[in-house]
Amino acid sequence: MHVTSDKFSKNAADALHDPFLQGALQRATGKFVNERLRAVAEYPGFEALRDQGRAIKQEALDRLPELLEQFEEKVIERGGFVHWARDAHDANQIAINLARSEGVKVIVKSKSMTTEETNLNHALTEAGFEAVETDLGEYILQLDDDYPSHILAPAIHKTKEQVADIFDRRLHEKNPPDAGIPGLNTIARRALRTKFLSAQMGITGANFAVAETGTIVIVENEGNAALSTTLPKIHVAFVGIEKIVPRFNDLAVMLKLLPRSATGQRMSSYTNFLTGAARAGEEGPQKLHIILLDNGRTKIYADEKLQGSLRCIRCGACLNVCPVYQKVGGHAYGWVYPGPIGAVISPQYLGLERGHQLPFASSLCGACYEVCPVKIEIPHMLLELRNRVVEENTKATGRPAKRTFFEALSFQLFAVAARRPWLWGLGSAIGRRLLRSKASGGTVGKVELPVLRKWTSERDLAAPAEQSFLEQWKQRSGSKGGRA
Amino acid sequence: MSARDEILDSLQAASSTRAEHGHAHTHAHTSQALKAIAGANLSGFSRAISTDYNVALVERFCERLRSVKGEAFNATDAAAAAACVKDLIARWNIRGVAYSADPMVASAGIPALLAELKLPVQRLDGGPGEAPWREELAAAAREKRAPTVPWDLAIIGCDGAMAETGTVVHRAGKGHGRGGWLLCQAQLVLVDVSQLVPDLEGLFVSGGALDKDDLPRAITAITGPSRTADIEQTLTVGVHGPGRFCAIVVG
Repeated sequence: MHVTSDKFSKNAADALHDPFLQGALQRATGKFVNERLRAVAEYPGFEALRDQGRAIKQEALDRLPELLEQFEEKVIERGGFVHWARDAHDANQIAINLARSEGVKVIVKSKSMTTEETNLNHALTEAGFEAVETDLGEYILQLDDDYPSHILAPAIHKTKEQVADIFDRRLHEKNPPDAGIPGLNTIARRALRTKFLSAQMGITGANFAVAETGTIVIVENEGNAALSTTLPKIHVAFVGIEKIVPRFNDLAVMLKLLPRSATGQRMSSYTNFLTGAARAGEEGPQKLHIILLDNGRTKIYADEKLQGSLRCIRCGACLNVCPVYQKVGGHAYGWVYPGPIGAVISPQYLGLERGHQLPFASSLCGACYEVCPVKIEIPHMLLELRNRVVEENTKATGRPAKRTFFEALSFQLFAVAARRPWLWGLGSAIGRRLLRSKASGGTVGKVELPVLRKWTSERDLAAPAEQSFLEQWKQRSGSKGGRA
Repeated sequence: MSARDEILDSLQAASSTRAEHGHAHTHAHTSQALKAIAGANLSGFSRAISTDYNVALVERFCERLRSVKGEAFNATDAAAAAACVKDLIARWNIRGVAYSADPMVASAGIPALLAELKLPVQRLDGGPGEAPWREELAAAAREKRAPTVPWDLAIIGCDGAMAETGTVVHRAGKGHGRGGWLLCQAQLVLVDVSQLVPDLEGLFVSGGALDKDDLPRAITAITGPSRTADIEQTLTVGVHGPGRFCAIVVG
């Protein structure tokens, strides 16, 4: 896909002026947030469960090399094949070579962020295969040559009228009047049924890969992942190396966290536990190929301050609660992973040069950390990345980041005043009186002063108290003879 | 150097640097925390159970399944279950039934019931017996026509069920395919009350439906009908898998 992360500000401004998108985002994120809250509230000890989830994923990271080898061994033991891919291109090429050598024509795909990351559809189409997305949202986007704007609800930015139009144009199927969304559903079900029943290869991602047993787990609601891993003769799974969990029983924790954090469901409609290839006489793919993908993950792994971002299980909870995502939507982030977690991981995958705006796309309110099922310290990581952006700039320009004239002047004035208590007292007394004279209802409106003007144009500045802290201190402790 | 060695080497290098700096985590500590918390989850549930353990489990299971647009019934015995199935076939306008070789299906007298109703049937074995059926489904889909016999409903047993979420677990294996029920419009699962456990942990025990030492190629935990909210966040059912789902707890 075309990366536009370096144009975040422009993308965001466009999104803010799209009334339909604003409505859709508000509906979707609001719904996800409420459903999650309900599911979390009814589960006793959900906070403890988050600690547990964090511990499991952190242990997996700490033991990652050993666990990956164990996973590989177990998959092979159960008749599967394991491939290792350094980057997106290598991973796609492995899939293409497999499809070629098996004489595959039609490929069904179930939703996978990892294959979005490698831009697999594009590569498969270029190579001459018919690769069909089967998740309803992804299917709509594929027909319209568009890309996802939310990890879980990829097509939230489309109206039902737009979808009907896409089906009409691309499938030559008109949705009967009054059939509404269920009618659109039926059209997609029928069109994709022929693909499922004729495809020779199914390609999926994985939510978890269990080192102990070589099992991969796919969580879904539509049944397309189940069909993609049952009907075709070959199953290829794209798995990021960070998807590992050490033990099969760890799933008892992870599968409670994931659906509740993602959509507020207690369990998703279908949770698929897939272990090895089908044996003779058994239903399902006789060939299982698992592609373990690096694509920058080893680099993040070596980065002590940001390694924790590899614990991410792609639930999307941080997107939904983020006041920035709620307004600008997924496309503004300009790459596969949007929202707070996207602002952390995209700059690492793409490089700071292309992702430098993303760490600043946050109010650092911390809501993302509060909901993260594996407790990734997203706000801290954003700050760390901001530091690095500034450092990179300093290095590139040979001097510290440039301050505006007024910013530099303010700091100089501050330095002068802060060293002279009498001047500080005088200055703050004048400032306080000035602001109080402009205040109404406890807040000060727009302040027509340099620096402050920009800041107060969109924020309420609380009116200062009548007395300064020092004045109050003197008054209250004066009778007891305390020292100010 | 192969991609495999390159990836493993760089991970190894990173973890050993970290270990030298004393950042390695103590796993004894984390696994202790895990045990304590796992215990807490289970005791939380048992406290919530009132007088009759089984009644509470069945009630919870049915309530939770209904909350995700599934239907749920409790039948006291096999005869009551068969009556319930008969009623459902009429109510859902079922014109053809595919059923699995699960003992629950046989003991509820489903084959006899279908013969009595004179409905076309298809055995689901996940193997050669299903082949002509699947070919017909494929041909019908390709030619945009209805299949010669509209197999609307799949009736299967299960290998475990969970009350907390209204979930049933299907283990695929010889004679137990999952493609068959995935392709039907509606799905009916017969659950023996003894298969019901309170929470997810209960399925992971030795001998349970998710026993780590006994994993068939595919296990599916099914919770209600196939669903999507991909268009305008509006929930619709039956996008790929069965759009109607019912579980009958027997006993």
